[in-house]
Amino acid sequence: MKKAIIILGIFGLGLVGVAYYFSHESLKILERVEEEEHIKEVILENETIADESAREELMYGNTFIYQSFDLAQSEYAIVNHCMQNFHTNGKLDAFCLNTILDALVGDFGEEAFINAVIGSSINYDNLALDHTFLDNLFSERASLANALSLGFLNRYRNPNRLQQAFDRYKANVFRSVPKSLYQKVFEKQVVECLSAYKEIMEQTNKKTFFEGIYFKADTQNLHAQYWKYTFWKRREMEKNDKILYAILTEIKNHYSAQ
Amino acid sequence: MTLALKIILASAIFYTLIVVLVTQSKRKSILLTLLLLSGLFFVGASFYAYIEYVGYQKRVEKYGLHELGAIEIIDKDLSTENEYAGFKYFQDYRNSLSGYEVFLLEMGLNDSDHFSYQNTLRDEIMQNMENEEYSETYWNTTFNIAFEYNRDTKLYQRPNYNALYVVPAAFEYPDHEVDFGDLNDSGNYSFFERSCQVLYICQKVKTIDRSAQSITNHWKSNKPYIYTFFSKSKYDVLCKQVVDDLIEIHDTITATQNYEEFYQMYDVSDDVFLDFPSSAYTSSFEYSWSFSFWDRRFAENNASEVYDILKEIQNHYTN
Repeated sequence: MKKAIIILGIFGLGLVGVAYYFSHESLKILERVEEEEHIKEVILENETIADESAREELMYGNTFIYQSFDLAQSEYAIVNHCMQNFHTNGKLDAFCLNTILDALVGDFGEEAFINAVIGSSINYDNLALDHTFLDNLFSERASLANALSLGFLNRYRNPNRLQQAFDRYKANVFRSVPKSLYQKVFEKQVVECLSAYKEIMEQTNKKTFFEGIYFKADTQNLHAQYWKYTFWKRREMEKNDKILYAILTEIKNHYSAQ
Repeated sequence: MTLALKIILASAIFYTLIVVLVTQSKRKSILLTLLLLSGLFFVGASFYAYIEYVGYQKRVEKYGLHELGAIEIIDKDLSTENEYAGFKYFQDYRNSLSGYEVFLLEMGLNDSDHFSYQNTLRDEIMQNMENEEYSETYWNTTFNIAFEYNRDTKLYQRPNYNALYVVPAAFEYPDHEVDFGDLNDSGNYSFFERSCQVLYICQKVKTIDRSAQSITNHWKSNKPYIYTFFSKSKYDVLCKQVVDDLIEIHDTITATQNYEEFYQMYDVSDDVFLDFPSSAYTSSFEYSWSFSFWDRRFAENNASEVYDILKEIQNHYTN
């Protein structure tokens, strides 16, 4: 009987020891969890600060990075004369525009110029599409940068050239436009344009459809609202509508697949 | 001490107590009670161990072993940073385009270009003066720029005292943005060149220490150049009058009583200044500059040294 008492006691003590071991382990887990939570909090805080400063950098980043390029004597004479004219009447004639664009694209690079145009279309205060972008681009008194951007974009109205440029630069553009940026800035426009195109295609009588739209737009001053339809009318006239539809579809699919 | 440790300690004490009692007591009833107690202890301990084990299992399930957490968080962090970086990337390109815009707009403003060209030329001319220092051309230039050149007679001339007046004591820098006109025009260019050279000489004069001793030393080390490169014929036409006048005025002033007191008062030009020694005397000269010249020499305490130098020059060219 004595043996039984002692053995029971020993086992009991052993079990208390086992219990202690587990409680100790649980305590360790709890401590680690607490520590991690603390780290998480600190990281979150740092992240917020970094986010805010990145955001501020964008908001106060509407400035310029000084650039220059060398021109040959003959080019310099032309560009100088053109710029003097621009200072007096705020216009560039076709010859000037072409000369300056050639020099600029030569120095800046076609891809960089495309990026700059994308960059010009963003409103950095609220990280969305800048709705004044198109108005500024086509404005009678456009700034030099806008006049040059428009001249640059006009070069891609030719369907073959558009297709070539898209094929050449799409990989880079897809890489440098993250999905979040696409969603914030461009997605709405792309989807609207694509659905408008489909709507137009479904019309049996396109002529009356457009007549109706232009009538409504003219009489009620709603060109902005019908822009997505008139956009395709202009593309049709330039004969680049099919290519553009394919390009926009590819862009949309690229980002929805991600 | 945690609760678990206290329980262990209590159990250990409890167990030793039982062991002591077991070894000490012989009575069956006590042994039976002890057996019951240790049985209860065993059951309680198993229950406690079970509870702790279950609790541990639950926590492991809930939190896992939790050692990869931090890395996951860092991954997440990078993705949010990319969002703004994407915007920044395009903003930078847009800003570069604006940079080109500024560059092109500046190109249209011809004037800035014109002034920078003028300034470059000026620096070149002044550098040239410095490189040629103490050579024959340097001295010839220095002696020529003080006088006005008549293009028709191809002669230098001294308009009143102006020759010495171009090197005043305190020279004001001319405005760097003075427009000298089209520098391809030879007339404009020679005027521009002369003002650059005068500017150089003025800057050099400002660096010279004008104390009495230094002026004497300076004269001694440079006078051979002057006697070599400034001919008597030139001296007679351009400088004789000024030197003679200065000496004559000095003689007259110093011969007048109280001249030291008077010139101590008039360290600068003033209305009364030209009344000494008499307005009739001062107005007999073409220019009042020569009186203030001596006033400044008295103020600088180098009048007698300058007088000696002028006297030496006068003697040198008269013989």
